[in-house]
Amino acid sequence: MTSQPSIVSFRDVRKHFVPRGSMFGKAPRVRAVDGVTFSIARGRVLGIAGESGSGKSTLANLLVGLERATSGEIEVDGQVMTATPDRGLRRAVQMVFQDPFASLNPRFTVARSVEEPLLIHGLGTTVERRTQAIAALEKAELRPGLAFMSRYPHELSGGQRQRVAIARAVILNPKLLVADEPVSMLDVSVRAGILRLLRRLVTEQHMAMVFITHDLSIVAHICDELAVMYRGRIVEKGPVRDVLRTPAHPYTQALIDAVPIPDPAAVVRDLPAKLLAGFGDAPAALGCPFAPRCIHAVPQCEASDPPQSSVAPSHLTACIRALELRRAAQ
Amino acid sequence: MSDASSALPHAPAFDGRIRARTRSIVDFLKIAFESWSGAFGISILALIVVVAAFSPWITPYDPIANHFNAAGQLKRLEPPSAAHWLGTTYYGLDVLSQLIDGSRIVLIVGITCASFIAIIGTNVGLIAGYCGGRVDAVLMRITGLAFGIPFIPFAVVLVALLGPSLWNMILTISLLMWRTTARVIRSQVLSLRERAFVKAAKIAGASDVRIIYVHIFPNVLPMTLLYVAFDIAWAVLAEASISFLGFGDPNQVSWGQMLYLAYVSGSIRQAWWWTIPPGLGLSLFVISVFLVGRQYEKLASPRLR
Amino acid sequence: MPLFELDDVSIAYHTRDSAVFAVNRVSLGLEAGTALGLVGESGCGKSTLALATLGLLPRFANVWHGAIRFEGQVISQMADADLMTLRWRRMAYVPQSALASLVPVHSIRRQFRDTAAAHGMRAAEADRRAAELFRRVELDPIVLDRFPHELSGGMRQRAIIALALLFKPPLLVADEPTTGLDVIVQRQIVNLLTNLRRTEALSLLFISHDIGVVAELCDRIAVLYAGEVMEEGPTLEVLANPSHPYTMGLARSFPDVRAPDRPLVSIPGHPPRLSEVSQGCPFATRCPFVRDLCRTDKPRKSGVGRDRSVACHFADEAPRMAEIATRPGIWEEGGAAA
Repeated sequence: MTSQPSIVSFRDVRKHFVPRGSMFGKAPRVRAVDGVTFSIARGRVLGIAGESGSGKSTLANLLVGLERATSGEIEVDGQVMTATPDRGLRRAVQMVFQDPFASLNPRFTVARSVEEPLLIHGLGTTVERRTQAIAALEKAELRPGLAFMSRYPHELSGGQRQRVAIARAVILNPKLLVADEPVSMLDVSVRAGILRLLRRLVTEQHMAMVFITHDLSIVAHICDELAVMYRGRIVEKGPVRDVLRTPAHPYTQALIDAVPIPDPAAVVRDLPAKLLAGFGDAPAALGCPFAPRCIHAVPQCEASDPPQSSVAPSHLTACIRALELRRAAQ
Repeated sequence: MSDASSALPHAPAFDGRIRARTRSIVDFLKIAFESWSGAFGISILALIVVVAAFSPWITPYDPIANHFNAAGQLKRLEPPSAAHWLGTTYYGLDVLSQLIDGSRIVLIVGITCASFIAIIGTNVGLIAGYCGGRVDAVLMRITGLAFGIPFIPFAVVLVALLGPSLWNMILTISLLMWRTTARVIRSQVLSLRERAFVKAAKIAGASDVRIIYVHIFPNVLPMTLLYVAFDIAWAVLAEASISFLGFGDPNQVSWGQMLYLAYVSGSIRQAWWWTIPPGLGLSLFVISVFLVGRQYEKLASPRLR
Repeated sequence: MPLFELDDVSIAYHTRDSAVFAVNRVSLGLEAGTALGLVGESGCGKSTLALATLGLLPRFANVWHGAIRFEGQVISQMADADLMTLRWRRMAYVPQSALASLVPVHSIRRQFRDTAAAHGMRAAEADRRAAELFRRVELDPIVLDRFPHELSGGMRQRAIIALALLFKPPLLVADEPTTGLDVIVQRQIVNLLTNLRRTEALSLLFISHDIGVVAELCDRIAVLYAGEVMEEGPTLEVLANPSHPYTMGLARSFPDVRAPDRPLVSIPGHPPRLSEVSQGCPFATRCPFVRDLCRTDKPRKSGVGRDRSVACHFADEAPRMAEIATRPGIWEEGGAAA
């Protein structure tokens, strides 16, 4: 897809949890991430969209080395991600969290929080660290940086806290930034600013970003590529505008149809009953995980795992009827 | 254009701080004075501290000197008089001097024990709460053991083995009483370790030790200090109990020991001037610590919703 | 006469030494059979208003000024005992977090019965209504005997809506009922509320920060900022032709999944804290069209057309401002303070 070498690659990664305290008999393993493959190049943003239970949080944890994959390979910056990532990997991958308040230590000043990664890795003298911290804050559009250094998180607004968290994340010049729903807890009127900031940093710092969200409406404003996850698998992946305009997977289509339209004059499409029922059932061991809720499902769907097939250049989907449905729609 | 009548009734300025931040000692003390109970508590504590600090200079007599009357007889059990404001003990000692001198023990035992308890309890709580798994299980077993052992019999046995001295008492008290702090700190750590800022530190590469002591500890510190306050009171009561049973340090004057001697000499019923002062002293001290502690506890919960 | 009315209402929160106004002279009306959406960001006072309508303000808050009226009666100064006869029977409340408002150790059926008993309905009748309402919200009646933690977020929310409709109240106050839910579940709830409005002749006071949901559900919209109403009117008109700069900015901050290329706007600065009292228009610090008058004088409410109103000194220049507001550059600021 891109001629640039990828900085992150996931190959058939799986993360299964065995619920603790399962007594007699086999408790079904929770397949949080079930065979995910993708790669990202520097300067590019991959969006991971999914609802609760899709496995996107586990994916985030795998990316930053907080969880170890059950099987499959994770490579970041040429190194394989292991259970205990070494210092080099720790500097290469950073994360921005959903809750800006919880992601900052309430007892630390802004200066202390932003300098902490430098302290952990023993970089720079006291003066150098301070200078770098101020520079990082200004990069995050908190100007003048000096004025923010001695403030505490509870004195800042949500948007400002998130910028501090972003400054902290980029101060080590990471190669990969994982943003886990970074704007969903912010007021709507400040979201666009944060999204633009992240996009700008991706370009300026020449890093890759994985942008995790449940809100399909913002992905087009920050992502180059979009992957839609359902029950631990990527069901569709492709250039963001292609996926949004001409979704190939029935689940993606359902997600797009479900989004409320800010235009009162628009006509709302009703969701099929089959989609709404069957929610929360444990997925079958074999076959497409979406089949029980899919209006286009045929017996073949539940018989075997659907392979990733191409519906357009760089646009993949895990649906055996994708091409057929697309042709029928035209 | 705007209408003058649309102006709001003037809302007084609000300083914007929902939770009082104690950046200076003055702020710290101001909080105690916010209610009558807190003011009372801190006044009593301040009084005891001053008395204990200056006791060598303010005792009217040597606390362990026997007093004789003109006829050469021991001034036993004399009720309060001009010469002895709180009367004398069965052994002819001035009660007031003993009372003043005994306040030193209150402070020494209180502060030393509370410090040890804080150090042991906080560390156990931090490590057990953060590490989880087997480490947690082992530490909690030990804590459970500490809860299970009854304090007085344990103290008696230890004192019998090691001999009655002030340090052995401090040791005894500290060895058992860290248990509550450990449990409380552990439950705080259990919830703190799931917070995003801990995750952020981990991702940045912080070691577990660093996370526990640099990131989590400052957040449990307020709770530690609060329990330190209560532990001071408990430690003092513990010492008084041990002394009252006769296992205290015979070379140290303490309020518990005063009560013990009053009991042992059979004068506990009649010599109210000998028993009430130390008893009242202990009660007031404990009440004051609790009252002041309660004021600071309110800091932990936000005032406005 | 409107079913529900806020008449020049100000609500204050009292601290030890001062008072803070969460709602500042708000006047709104809701006609029977319609839905009014209250839209705003943090600190705009919408949740406070929701609590106040049912007399659920905490002890240290009160309606300082003005009157809240329901079916003509003033309820803002009513005694709690009298309010009890209105709550649930005539006005019901659907809160944001169903999990927080359901008793975790009681089955759903028990909660129906308890609520019913508190307002004078017998257990047998409560059971009958519960089953009927569950069907209406598309929940299997078997769920009645489950516990809250056994239900998914969407199911809990539907259960809460069913519970709210126990006495067929004419007014439902919903405070962010879809926030935090997955998008498909949210769509379910929104469709459900639309249907219920039709079949139960329900009036709805819908509070949300999500303009998209409000646009679908509500006939009229009121845009709140820092405790004051910036603009109010039929949803279609207000969103298509906003008269207030804040509405212009806010509407453009909402991305449309169907129009991914439409540029997104971010209003510089951040919504003010409750403690920051402003002399003039509260939006002055962030408004791209601000002039000196805005900072010193509070704008008065003025009518726009037949049934709209706006609080802006320069409301008559709205069409021109709206046109300029479509250019994303106008909302940018070097060195954002947010």
